[in-house]
Amino acid sequence: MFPDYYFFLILLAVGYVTGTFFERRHFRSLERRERATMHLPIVGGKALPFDPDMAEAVAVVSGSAVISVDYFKRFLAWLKNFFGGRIKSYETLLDRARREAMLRMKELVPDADFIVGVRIETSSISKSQKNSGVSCVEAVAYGTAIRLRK
Amino acid sequence: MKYTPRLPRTNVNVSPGSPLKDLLLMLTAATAIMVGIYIALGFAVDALAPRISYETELSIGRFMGRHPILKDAKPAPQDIQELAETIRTQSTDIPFPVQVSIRQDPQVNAFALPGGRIVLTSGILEAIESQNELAFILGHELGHIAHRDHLRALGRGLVLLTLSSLVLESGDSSGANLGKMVVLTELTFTRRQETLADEAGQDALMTVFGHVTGPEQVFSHFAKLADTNYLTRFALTHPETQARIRHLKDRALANGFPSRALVPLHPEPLPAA
Repeated sequence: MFPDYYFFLILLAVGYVTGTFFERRHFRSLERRERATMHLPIVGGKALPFDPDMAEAVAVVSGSAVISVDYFKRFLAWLKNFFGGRIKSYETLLDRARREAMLRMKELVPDADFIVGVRIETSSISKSQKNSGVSCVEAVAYGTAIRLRK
Repeated sequence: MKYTPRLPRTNVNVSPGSPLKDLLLMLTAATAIMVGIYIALGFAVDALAPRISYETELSIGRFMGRHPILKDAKPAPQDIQELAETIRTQSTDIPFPVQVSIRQDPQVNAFALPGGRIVLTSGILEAIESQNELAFILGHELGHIAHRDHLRALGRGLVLLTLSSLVLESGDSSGANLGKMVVLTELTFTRRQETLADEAGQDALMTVFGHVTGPEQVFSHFAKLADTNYLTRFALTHPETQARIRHLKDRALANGFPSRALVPLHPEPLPAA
């Protein structure tokens, strides 16, 4: 019976170490890129913050990101199923997916002046076989990029 | 309206705190709950086991089929079988016949299983030298059957198996391995259960031979084999063994049970293997 448990513990440890490593790296990258693109405003409201006649170019833009769960996170979430409460291990996952999707959308149009009508949607990608198969989350951000006449 | 680019200072979408601490906390809580359920169900098993009818026990025995311990066991010779039946009919109120099997195993041990099966190891048969010792061992195991100790142990084993399969998902290999472990745990009894079974063994000696010499010799055989097996050695140097011998002596004294010479075994009780 012991090899089974060793296997499980190894997966858990590998999941934790690699998961934490990649997550920290991703968060650092997100922050750096957000700083680099923060000059471009993204607008969710319905009213345009400029005169429509000023628009020179318009394009629909979208960005999406898929982030996978690791073994450690999944185990933690599974345990949380018994007790209820915030699944912290999935919070970082969704945060990363949303921010990455938003960034990719912004990076698509570096010379835009606005992105308006921005929405974010989230869906889970998983095979519903019990506890086996892939489980990850996808976030899609989309909006309308506008370049104004100078 | 002027747009001032600024990043949020903190990330409100991610809860602070280490996930490792979370894991530890939840694992501890889960373990505590499981242990609590196991203890509670254990008490329930202890309360229910004596109420299980003998018919139900027989069908449990049939349902369980061939116990792993019976795998390489053969039916016992006629004289052992007859001795067991004599003890059962005269000294216990077990209404169904018992079957004695012998398992090829150098360890000195004996087991009682649901459905009236007793398993002796070939090791224990080689170690003993008298009919009295054999009668004490059979009486002891019949005592476990009469007191439903094996049903209690089986119930606890089932509780453990159920809980473990709940956690580890049934059907996976670790669940199956735990099942094997349960087979072992179900054969261990508490000190009080052993004491009561010893008393049943003493009663059996009194019924068959009219005196109670024998138990001490049985325990001494364990002592001779002390260096063969770590578990046996543990069992013998254990103060419990001494306490069990003393308890039987005190009981014999209190009830006025006499002591006389041992009846040697028939030459070659076992067919040459």
